Amino acid sequence: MSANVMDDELGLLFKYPLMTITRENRNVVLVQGKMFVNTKDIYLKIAQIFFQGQYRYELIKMQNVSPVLAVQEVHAVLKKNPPSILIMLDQIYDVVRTRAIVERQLLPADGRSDIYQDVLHEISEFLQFYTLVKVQIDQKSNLLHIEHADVRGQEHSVAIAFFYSTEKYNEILFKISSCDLPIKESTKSHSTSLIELFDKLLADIEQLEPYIQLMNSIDASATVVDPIPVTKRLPYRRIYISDTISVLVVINPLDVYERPEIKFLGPPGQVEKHNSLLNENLAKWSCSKNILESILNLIGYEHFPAIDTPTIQEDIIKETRTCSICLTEKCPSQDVLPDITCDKENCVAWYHKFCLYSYLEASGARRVFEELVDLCPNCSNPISCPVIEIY
Amino acid sequence: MSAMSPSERRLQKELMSLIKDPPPGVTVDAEQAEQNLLQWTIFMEGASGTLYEGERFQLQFKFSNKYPFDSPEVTFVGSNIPVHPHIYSNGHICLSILTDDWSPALSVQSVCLSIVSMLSSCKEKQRPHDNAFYVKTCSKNPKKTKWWYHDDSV
Repeated sequence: MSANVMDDELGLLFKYPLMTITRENRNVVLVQGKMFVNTKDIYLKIAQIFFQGQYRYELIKMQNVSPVLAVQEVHAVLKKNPPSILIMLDQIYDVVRTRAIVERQLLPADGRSDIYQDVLHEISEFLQFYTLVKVQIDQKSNLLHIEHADVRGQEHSVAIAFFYSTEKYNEILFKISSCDLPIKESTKSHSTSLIELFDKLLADIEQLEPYIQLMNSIDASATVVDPIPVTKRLPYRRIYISDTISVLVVINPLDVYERPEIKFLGPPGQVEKHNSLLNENLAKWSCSKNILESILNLIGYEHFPAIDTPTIQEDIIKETRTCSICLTEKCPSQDVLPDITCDKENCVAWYHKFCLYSYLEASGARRVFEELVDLCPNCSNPISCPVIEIY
Repeated sequence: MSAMSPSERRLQKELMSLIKDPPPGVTVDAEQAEQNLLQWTIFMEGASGTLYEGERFQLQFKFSNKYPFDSPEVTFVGSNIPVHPHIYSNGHICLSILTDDWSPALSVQSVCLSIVSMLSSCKEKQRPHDNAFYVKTCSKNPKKTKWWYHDDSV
């Protein structure tokens, strides 16, 4: 029995990927969705109804099929009570196909249910060629999300769109829709072969290897102000120098040894000073050395300055802002700092709304409109807490 | 490690601060507490200059999974139960913050401090006057006792 069900489900997925089966209630199962027959999608909605130990099928809706004759044919199939949903759909498919009831015509390029079969086929072939970290098909937007690890174990993600060609019938095209690396424009053009496309991408990644390494070392040693979050897709970094000055470094991803474009940003007076230093250093640029070091030499630093953080002040805030119930700043259930205190000015206790509410509710506090009112667990002065939903 | 419940997280936090920064004369059996966060043994020394100077006591803390909303069950255990007007010979302690006056803002540390100060302020070593009757009739869990709090001065 269960084996049959499994076979049915797999068969359904392969043959009619856009058909869904939902159980409406104890007696009714709905089978609905699109079926691809003779180059056309027809829409079906059929109910499987259990009644007195028996089941029967009923056609609720059928679209894109003409003439009306077809409806009668389908009714005849359903009358015979096919032994399973898969067989029922197979029989409908046969009827509609052999009677040529569906008008043979070319369809608009999208909205065809068989695109997934073609794509799945292409992907299964593709997967035999590469070991990938993750592959995911997004049916809604016709995207293939791939995560790939390069020779150094760095992971890169790429999204590949798939769609039917508008020029040639039955041809699927693949195109890189987004990638977290600055890949070449030529790689971005569409291709009929997923393998070919991916090969181009891999070649790009290999060529970008020095760039990836340089960006990693910059991101690890500098305080990057822009882009945030840092991404290798963008070949520039704006780096913190002081509270008023930052430096923009633009790198050529295909040739990291080329002298990067460097621009100081900030008040004109200070920028002037940095620029004159930069001009002196420009002549000393050498590409043979460590690139990161060369860039630092260029802007006149031994290492990128770190942001001075007023650590002591932060500690004071943290210490006073521990929730007196769970004893943490941020409890895992709620990603917020404690934000409730009682009315008494010198009471030091703070509470998370969630913690205080849980306590007041458990201790049977009085509810006044949308608030629970009771005494502060720390100083026994009145405290109130808004009523919240706890799930 | 599997996800901790809110009460376990809080107990873990309290245990850490008690190990790191214990009140004078108080030590916790960290190994045992780490194995079972819901039951701790705490050793307490009688403060110098008090009637209990030089004595060592053993306290047992039991926590429910409702802690800190629910108060811990605290009793003296072991061979030496302090002789004190609020401490019964079976180890039960008559202390309001352990039942009626418990609040989640209190902690193991504040309970220990209360007990230390209760011992320190004692002027005469004696059992509660109803000790014999109470010990015979009481429940094993001191939290089930309807306490009739004695005066606050001791």
